[in-house]
Amino acid sequence: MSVLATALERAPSATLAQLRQLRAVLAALAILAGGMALLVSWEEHADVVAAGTHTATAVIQTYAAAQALTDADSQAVQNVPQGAGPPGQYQADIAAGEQSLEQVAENNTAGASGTQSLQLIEGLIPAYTGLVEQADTRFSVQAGTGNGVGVEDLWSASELMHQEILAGQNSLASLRTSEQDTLDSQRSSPWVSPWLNALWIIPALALLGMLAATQRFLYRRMRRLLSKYLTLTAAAVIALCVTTSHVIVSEHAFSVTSGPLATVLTLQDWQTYSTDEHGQTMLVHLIGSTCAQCSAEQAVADMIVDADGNQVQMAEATVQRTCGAQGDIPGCITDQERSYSADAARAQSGYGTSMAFIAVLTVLLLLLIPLGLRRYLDEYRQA
Amino acid sequence: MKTLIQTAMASTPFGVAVRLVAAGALIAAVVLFSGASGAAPGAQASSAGAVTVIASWTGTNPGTEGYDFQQVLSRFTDTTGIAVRYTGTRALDQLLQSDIQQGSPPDLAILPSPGELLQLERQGYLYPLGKVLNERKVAAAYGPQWLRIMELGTGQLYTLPVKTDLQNLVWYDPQDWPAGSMPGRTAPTSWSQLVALEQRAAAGGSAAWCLGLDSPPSSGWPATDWIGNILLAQSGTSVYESWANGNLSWESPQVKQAWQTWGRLVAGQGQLYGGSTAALISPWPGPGAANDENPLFTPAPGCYLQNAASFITLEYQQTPNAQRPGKGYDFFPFPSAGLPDEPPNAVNDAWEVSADLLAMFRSTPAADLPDTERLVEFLASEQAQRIWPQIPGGGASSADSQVPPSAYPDQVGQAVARIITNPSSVLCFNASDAMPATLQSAFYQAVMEYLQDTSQLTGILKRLDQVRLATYRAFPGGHPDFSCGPGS
Repeated sequence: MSVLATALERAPSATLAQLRQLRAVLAALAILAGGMALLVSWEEHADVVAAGTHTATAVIQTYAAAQALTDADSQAVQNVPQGAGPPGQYQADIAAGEQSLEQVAENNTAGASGTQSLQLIEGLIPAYTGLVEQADTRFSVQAGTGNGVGVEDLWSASELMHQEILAGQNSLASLRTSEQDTLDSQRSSPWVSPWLNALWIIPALALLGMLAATQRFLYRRMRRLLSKYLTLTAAAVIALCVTTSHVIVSEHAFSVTSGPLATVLTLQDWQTYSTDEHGQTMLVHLIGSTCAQCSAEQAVADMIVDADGNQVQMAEATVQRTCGAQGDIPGCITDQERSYSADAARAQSGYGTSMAFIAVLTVLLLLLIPLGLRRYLDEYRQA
Repeated sequence: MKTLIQTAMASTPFGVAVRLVAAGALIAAVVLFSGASGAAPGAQASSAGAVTVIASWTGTNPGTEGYDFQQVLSRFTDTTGIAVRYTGTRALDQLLQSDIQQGSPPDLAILPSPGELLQLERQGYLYPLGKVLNERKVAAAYGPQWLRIMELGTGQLYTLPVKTDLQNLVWYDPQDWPAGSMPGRTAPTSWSQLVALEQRAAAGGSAAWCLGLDSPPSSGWPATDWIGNILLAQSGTSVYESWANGNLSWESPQVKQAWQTWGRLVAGQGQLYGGSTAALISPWPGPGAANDENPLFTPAPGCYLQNAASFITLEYQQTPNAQRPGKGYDFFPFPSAGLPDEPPNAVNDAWEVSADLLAMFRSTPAADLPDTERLVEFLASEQAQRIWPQIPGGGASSADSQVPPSAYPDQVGQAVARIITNPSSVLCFNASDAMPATLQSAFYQAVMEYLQDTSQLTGILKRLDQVRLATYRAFPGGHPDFSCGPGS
């Protein structure tokens, strides 16, 4: 900036023109600084809202749908062979699963492939419930393991659930992967990158530098002390920097927050795994007591919940850390979801006010700069 | 502004400074605004413009139907540059119905059921392929019977067989049978010979038949093929047609006899590997398939015969002991049961066939229409029809007579192709696939109930007939008209 000040000093004959130029440069920098502050805040907020609200919701709800549907299958396997019909919990689980899928659809960010998977899953659920109802009808006539067709209906339903709805191509698992990939991409978006965020401050610093140089020019050329309007302008620029930094930092902190969200997902996964292990163990016994030659099918049912040992250990550690040894996992999930939602809400609170303040400061800058130079320009015009 | 520019352009330190500030601001603005206008990272590549296709073939690894069909589609994309988005699912009906209800059917669907396709056509969903394909060329390539199937009995071309299969075949491991002890592949035997063969197989203590009916969400379908095969063999083509089109009662003596014959073949003690309950719960293609130990091919066979369509060879290829067509596995035709109008031991020249039929939907957007039409043209071409049959172990056949048997990589595939494209073969489309979905589904359930308890046959057939009456009453445009006829 000293170069600029020197330049201003070395051109005394063109003082009026230089004052006009200064006004134009300051105004341009004010527009650029204010505009970029608004743009960066807006874009980062949009990414964070998309990731933290829509995509994260879609991810959470795919886990929730898997959990509910797994529990429905487990309930069916445990209760239908008794001939008493699927319990109320089964109906509630199916309804919860469908509700979660609706929320995934509302927040889907996985594009056409996500929509396709959702359509397929939503089409398969009636096929699944149809098979369970069919099994129920059969077991209501003849309960127990002697009912081979009833066992086949339940086995068929469970296979459909595990091999088409929960896993496989265009399943909840593939949908979850797509949504999670989108979430990861949004988190690594340039708008939430600290380096790109730092760029917005360049015009603001340039504006501050120009203001300092202008004050120095006015002092040296006209022996005037600090202009109060230009000092106010500098204060407004600093306020702009502080406000924008606050918006960006709080949004950024949220965008990289993975603690509560990751915990919610791990807990949900763990609950699904535990439920499924129980249900499939029951199914293995049911098949085994119905058909002595069906060891291969028992092995398949066993294999369905055969999880990676390390993942299980890590999940157990998370569960113990979050919920305690005898913890209530559903309650824990609810707590963690609340924590995540609160985090999301906190990051977004005051966003509107901050954006309005940035806009007001930008307008203020555009008013103060001409006001700050008007008196000097008038003097030179009159001279 | 003019003065500012002049000053800025001047090589004074002030001009340099102004230029630096302006350039920096400009670069920052360009960086930020270009980022703003760019595609959001993570956004999915647009699928707009891709032709959407759904079918029942799943799998992405070699040796799966999904993978093999993708080879066909890849060739199209490589040739034309047109993208295709393929979805393979076992729950094809559910997906299609869901898509239709939501008003977004795919551009193309490949269904095994002409009954369901006819229903869709009568509801106005299908786009006539006569607008895309030259019907005379199609008739010359596929022959009159396949043309009738492709027209769904409407007189207008609506479908195209992408993959064809021969249904009434009995498979065995030639290594289990001394030379000359098995009926030949091209000289079908009599019903009594089949029964004798079964008895001989069971005499060794193993079961005669391998059977697995678990195939969600359509469990039971492999047994419906049995009933169709037996009815065709016992009662001939006119009874079969009448039954397939919903004109013959399920309580008729012919249909009842077919069920009873099946019961005598498989429901007795030791006739099925693992017994009836194991067959209900075992997955198609057969018991042991879940852990890759198909008892048909184990050193000490658990069962000796399997009644299945030609596409089962794809599954056999996955069994380590049965990878050599003709030596590791082979087939003989399901024999004639002694038709009233044929002399004993007559050659059975009526064949049950099935096909995966491509149909195009009217809802295809105008912008996508040319691409979709090009894919239909491609799939109908001899070039495309050759691709899948030429994949070793692919288990696919083509109804296109321009694809000669010599194009198939092994002798089993060639034998199947010779039958399917032989002008003297009388081809009848798989009856259960020709039936409306509701009746088809009831049929799947009924065969499982019967296998569990054969004494319930009367009640089972009565229920099926009630479903038949209700279904065809509601079927748009009345009963379908699928008939048997000569091949190419």
